[in-house]
Amino acid sequence: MGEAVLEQEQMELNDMATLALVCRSALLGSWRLQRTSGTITLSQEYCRLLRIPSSAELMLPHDVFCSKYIHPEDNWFVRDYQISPPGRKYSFRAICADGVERWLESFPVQTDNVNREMLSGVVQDITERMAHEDNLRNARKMESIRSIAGGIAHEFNNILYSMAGYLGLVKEMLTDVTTLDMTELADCVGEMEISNQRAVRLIKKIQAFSHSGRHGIAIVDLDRAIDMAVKTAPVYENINVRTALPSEGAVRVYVNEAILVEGLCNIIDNGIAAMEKSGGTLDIRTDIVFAEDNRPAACGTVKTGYYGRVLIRDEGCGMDRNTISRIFEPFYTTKQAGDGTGLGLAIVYGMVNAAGGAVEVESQPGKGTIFKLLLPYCSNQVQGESVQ
Amino acid sequence: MTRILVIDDDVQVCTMLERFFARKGYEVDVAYDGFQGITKFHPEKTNLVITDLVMPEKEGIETVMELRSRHPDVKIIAISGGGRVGPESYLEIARELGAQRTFEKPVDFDELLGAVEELTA
Repeated sequence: MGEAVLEQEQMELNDMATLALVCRSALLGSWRLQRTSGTITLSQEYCRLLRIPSSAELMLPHDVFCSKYIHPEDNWFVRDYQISPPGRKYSFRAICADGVERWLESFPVQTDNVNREMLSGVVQDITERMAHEDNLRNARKMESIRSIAGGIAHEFNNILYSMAGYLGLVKEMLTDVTTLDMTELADCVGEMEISNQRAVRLIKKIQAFSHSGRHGIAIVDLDRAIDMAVKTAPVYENINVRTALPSEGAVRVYVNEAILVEGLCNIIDNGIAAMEKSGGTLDIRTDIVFAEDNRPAACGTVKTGYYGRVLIRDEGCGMDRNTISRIFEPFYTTKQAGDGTGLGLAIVYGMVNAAGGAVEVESQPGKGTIFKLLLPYCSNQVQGESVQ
Repeated sequence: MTRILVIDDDVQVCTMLERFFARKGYEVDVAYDGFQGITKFHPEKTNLVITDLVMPEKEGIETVMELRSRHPDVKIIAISGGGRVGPESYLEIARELGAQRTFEKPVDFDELLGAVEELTA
């Protein structure tokens, strides 16, 4: 009997040693919060994470713990979350006993359901993970900057290259006026003018993409904007552009109108270009929808709320997942030479971000594409269907 | 007459080079991507290829490789304004793959003309 107890005790000791080892390797600790007394008990492993010398658990007033070991900027929400019901994990900066700052993530995991007196949780040191994520974010940011800078340089180089070529030709023609062909001279000057216009258009597009502030955002009639965009669309015999728009003024959204029209033109042009060979119908309709849950979209995030929505559906060649993931990248284009700078959807991206909207994209190779442009609806007194 | 094939995805650049070299007495064919370039290349008639490197559809590097493998004696000038990386990276690869001369955009036209004259002499 005595041997059995000893064996049991030994097993428990082994289990505790294993648990301690797991905690140490995974940089885990635990805590218990006594609501009435306002005290928090830190496990020995949590003490180790905070570099507090302790050979056992450490109990201290919750206020003292927060002011001494939590970063002042994170103090308010840690205080708040630590006494809230469990279920929500949160990360914060801890100030260790040696003064070093570490990132911790806390999971409140268990509460005393009878009188809700006790709240417990597990905490993990995530400093290294945060550093890796930071590095990754920076690397991605640098990659996009490189890509955008490269794209701008490429476009301007072509413009300058062409301009310099014509300038050289004009200069050469003017050296001998006796052989001067006025038509040829006018052609060259005309081409230089085109180069200049290209540069101006490029700058405007870049400005539209970089437009991230609220400047120029006003209440806009979505249907009127679509009307304006459709009027500028290229006309093809084999392509039918069909619009189904509610009565004028029914769908009003908050957005920069000029950039919205430019963005819509770009999506419509892309849809038409995708059907140029095969022909088909480009369907455009608007409605008011209510998004119930936050969810990520191809561009931006759909947050809970009402939206004025534009659906643009083409029956063209469609896109694979890789293409969809890149279409909003500045200077990314799948079009033929001379047909696009790759800034059209980047403008849509800038516009949607500035307005607080989102774009959802559905497409498959050979099965056409649907763009769903969601822009914040401007009235609170509306009834709309839920976004599917 | 010496015949040059210009490959560039920028229509305005193609028109400009066509006009520039025509004025200097060359015959010029134009292609807007690598595929067209390969099709428009005449082994008997084309004396020189001037190609851009960053293009949609068929990249210039691929075009240089294909032209070089099909026609080992072809004379190639590669020009680049860069893309996601600087032009020098593309031009170095083009040189290694057999472009006789390389230029960064915007090009010095006297130097370009000098290179064309030298390679077609």
